[in-house]
Order: sequence, then structure tokens, then C-alpha cells
Amino acid sequence: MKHSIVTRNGWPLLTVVLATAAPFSALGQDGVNDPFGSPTRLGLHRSGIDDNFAHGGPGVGVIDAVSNFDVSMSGYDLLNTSLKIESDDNVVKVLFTPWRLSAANNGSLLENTKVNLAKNKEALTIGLGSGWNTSSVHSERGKKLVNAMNDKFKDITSGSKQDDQAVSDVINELYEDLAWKATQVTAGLNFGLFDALGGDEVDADGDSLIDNFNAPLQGFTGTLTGTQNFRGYERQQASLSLSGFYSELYDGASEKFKQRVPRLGWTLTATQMLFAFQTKEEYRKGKNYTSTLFVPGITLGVSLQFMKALDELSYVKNGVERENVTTVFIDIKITPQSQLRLGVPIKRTTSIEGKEVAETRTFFQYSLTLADLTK
Amino acid sequence: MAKKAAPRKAANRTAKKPVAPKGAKRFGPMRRFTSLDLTKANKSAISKAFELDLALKPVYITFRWTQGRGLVLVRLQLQVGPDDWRDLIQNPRMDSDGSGTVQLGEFRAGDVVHARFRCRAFEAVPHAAAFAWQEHPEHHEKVSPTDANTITLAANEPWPATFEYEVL
Repeated sequence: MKHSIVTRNGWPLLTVVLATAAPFSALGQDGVNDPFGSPTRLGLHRSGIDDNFAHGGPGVGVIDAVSNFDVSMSGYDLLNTSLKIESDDNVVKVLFTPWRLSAANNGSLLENTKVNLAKNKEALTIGLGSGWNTSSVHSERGKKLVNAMNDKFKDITSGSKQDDQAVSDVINELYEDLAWKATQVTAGLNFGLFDALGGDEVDADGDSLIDNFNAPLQGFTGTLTGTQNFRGYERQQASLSLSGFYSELYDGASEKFKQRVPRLGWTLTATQMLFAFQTKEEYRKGKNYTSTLFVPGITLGVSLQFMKALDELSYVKNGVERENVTTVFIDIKITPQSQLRLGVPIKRTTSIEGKEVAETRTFFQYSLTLADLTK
Repeated sequence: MAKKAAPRKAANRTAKKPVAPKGAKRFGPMRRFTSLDLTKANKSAISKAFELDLALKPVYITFRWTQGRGLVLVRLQLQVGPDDWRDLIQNPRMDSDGSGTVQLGEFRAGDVVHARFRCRAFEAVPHAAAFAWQEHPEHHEKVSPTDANTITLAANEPWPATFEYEVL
């Protein structure tokens, strides 16, 4: 079932696809800070700032990272969504970039700012994120390369048989140059809200009235991420990302015994494309490459995450003081708009009594671009 | 807003042959006193030639697109004969101002200008359109796209168009 809202100008502002999903057999993950907080896509696409919505603290209010890896590099995607399925929880996430509807189109921070809305079984989270990206044509680095591109046009004779192909090649080379060793720094702030849009109704004060709408905010998570792209849009594309976060989310055994627990953590993620589904000659001719530099293929990634509760240890959920998560994942990239990730996180937790527990899970994550400002 | 141009007569349009702007790609696109016989350049002949010159009407093409998005004008050509196209720009040009105008030449009323262009979006362009026009409030026509208000281009997508415009 598909519903669309179209603006006066004909843009598909919002498209929602309703579908049923078969249950997946996977181990549960309750409140694990998601290991995919850092960008794992190789492409530091021109404006995507998705990944700082990733981090939440453990416990109530945790929203797993659902990065829309390889969101359209054309940079005018408006609405992205993803679904992450595990045995005991599903996470639905929507990223909206409303300021791209403005007329400025200057690649500003505001234009690239995304609004995040995410929901798992326990909480609703809303957030804002934006950042700086040297792969943007509007960055200082981008402007220099664009000026150099204009110089290349002077070597092309207009009206010659090869003029259009030559222009297309120059444009492609520019974006390849932009992606080469590009750096991205993003920041995000998420606010955990009480579960007011679904889930269990709570009578927090025992007056027989549902208090979901009166419950306090569940806290916040701030994230700073830096990503370095190493090899550009070739088969050997690779990236390394380091992300740090600080959160203060309410945690506790019950509604009456909750306290904001400060936590600090970091995530290191490395990715490497294993192979492309097409040869370089083939994918360079494709529309997805010319418009987004997207290379269909399979990428292998490893993510290391560490998180520690700093204070209020008596309130931490399940008594977990420290958590290490090592995740191996593969991204199956078919099109820029629709991508799939399969992951196996191995989690080790240390309780406040010093007890260590290890467990392995699996998850399935599907990402979609629902609306953009291109065709 | 300018009034819509009067409907053109199809019979006249097909009857006219492509007209080249004489003088283009020489010293410059503007031609003056071309009808003057220099061996008989007396005052009367000069005035008569200039009267004919003043009857020439410059015709322009303006490209409009979403401001801030880069658009490359790869080629712009005017038909000067069967299978004979004259280039009006020497090299591709890129701009992100959202508007660009090139003079197609100077023509007499009733001439039909046949031209074509090819643009390429440097980045995604939500809206774009091309207009041929003269310096008169009613003499203008959207020449591309003809089947919609504007065209939408993905990054590195071409935008080719061939059009004709009757000079009024």
C-alpha cells in the first residue's frame, strides 16, 4: 500500500509504504547502544548527516543507530527511513531534511540539518543533526575543485562530437575527487521522549490515570563523529570513522525510581568494499553512478564500541556499568535508495559487581529513501 | 506578468526556412549597414540601409533553473541550413546563478529561428526551463520543456532540446 503527498510544485514530499514483514529469528538486544553510530558507507555523500542520530544510551530511550548508508549522493533526499529487526525489538527510524525545501540551496548547515524520529518498543526519540563535509561541492574544498572544473571546460570545444561525454566525464571526475580522502564531521543531539505514541500505558503516580503524556523527558544524547574516506569511489573503497558520545538518559527499575545516568562512549568503525557487482566500465555507464557515484556491491565492516556509566550506578538498567560491543556486518548495496545490512554483534557487559557476561546476536536492517528532490 | 504570446500560424512556420544571423562569429554578432552598397554610399543610401537595420530584432534564449544548483550549457546551436548548425558558444559553461541568457542573433519579423541546445546538470536541479524572447512584453515563448512547466534533472543528467521560434 502506498500513499503519497505531493506539493504544489509536484515534488513527492512524503511517501509512505506500508508492508508486512515476516518475523525474523534473532537474538534479542535490549538497550544495547548501537554499534552503527558511525558512517559505514564509503560515500561521504554531499550532504547526508544521518549518523549522529545513532547513539542512545542503554536503557529506556535507547534508539538504535539506523544509518541510511549510501543515501543519495545527489544530496537532495528529503525523507529516509529504515527498519531494524531483532528478536525482541524492532526499530523504525525516519530522517527528514525539511530545509532542503527552501530556496537557498547553498549547502549550509541548516539546509543539511536533519530531523530524526525513531521508535522502538520502549521509547520515542527525536533529534537534530548536522555537520561539515569536505565532499560537498559547497565546501571550500569543493569550490576549488569546481573552479578547476570550469578550467577543464575551456579545453572542450562546444559542438564537437564528444563535447557532452567530455562534460559528463569532467563532472564524474569532480565528484570522484571530492570523495577521495574526504572528511566528515557531524554533530547530533537526540532527546528521548516518553513512550507516548505507542507501547505500554503507564500510570506513573498510581492515580489510575495514564501518565504517558505527562511523563518527563527521558534525557538526551549528544554525539560527535569524524569520518575519513580513504580511497574514493573505486572498488577498493574504504572508510574509517570515530565517534564519541555523551548521554544522560533516565534509567532505573521503575517509574518511581529513575535517575538520569551519565554515560560516555566511543565507536570505531572500519569498512572495506569486498567486491562490486559490476566492472568499473559497467557501473560508470550506469545512471546511479553518474548521479550518485553509487557502486553496487558488498561491503564488509567491523565496529568496536565502548560505553561506560559514569555515575548513579545503582540506577543503571540490569546493573550494567560497562559494555563492549564488537560487530561484524555486511552491507548489500543494490541501489542507492534501497540497501540491506546483516550484522552479528558480540556484546560483553560488566556489571557493577564486576560480573562479566558475553552474548552474540544477529540483526537485519533495511534502509530506504522515500522522497528526494531529484527524479 | 507578461501576456502570453499570440498563437503562431502553422502555415507560416513551416514555410519559412532557417535564418542565420549574418555576421555572427565574425567581428561580433551585431550586423549593421549590411545592405549598403559601399560603392554608392551616399547619405540617402546610408539612411535606407540603417532603416533596414533598425527593423532587425534581437532574439535571446534564457535558461532559468533552481538557484544555487550548477547547470552546464554544453552547446547551443543555430540552424543555418539543412544539416548545418552554427555553434553560438565556444566552450561549455557552468553557472549556478539560476539564470543565463545568450543572444541567438538578430532577425527580421517573420523569420523562424531553428535552434537546439544541450545542457547537463552538474548537481540535481529540481526546476529548469528555457525561454526564447524578444525585447517586447508579449514576445516570448517557453521552448523547453513543452510538456510540463519545468524539467527536473538528476546530477549529471543531460537536458537536450530542439526548438523553433517565430520572430514577431
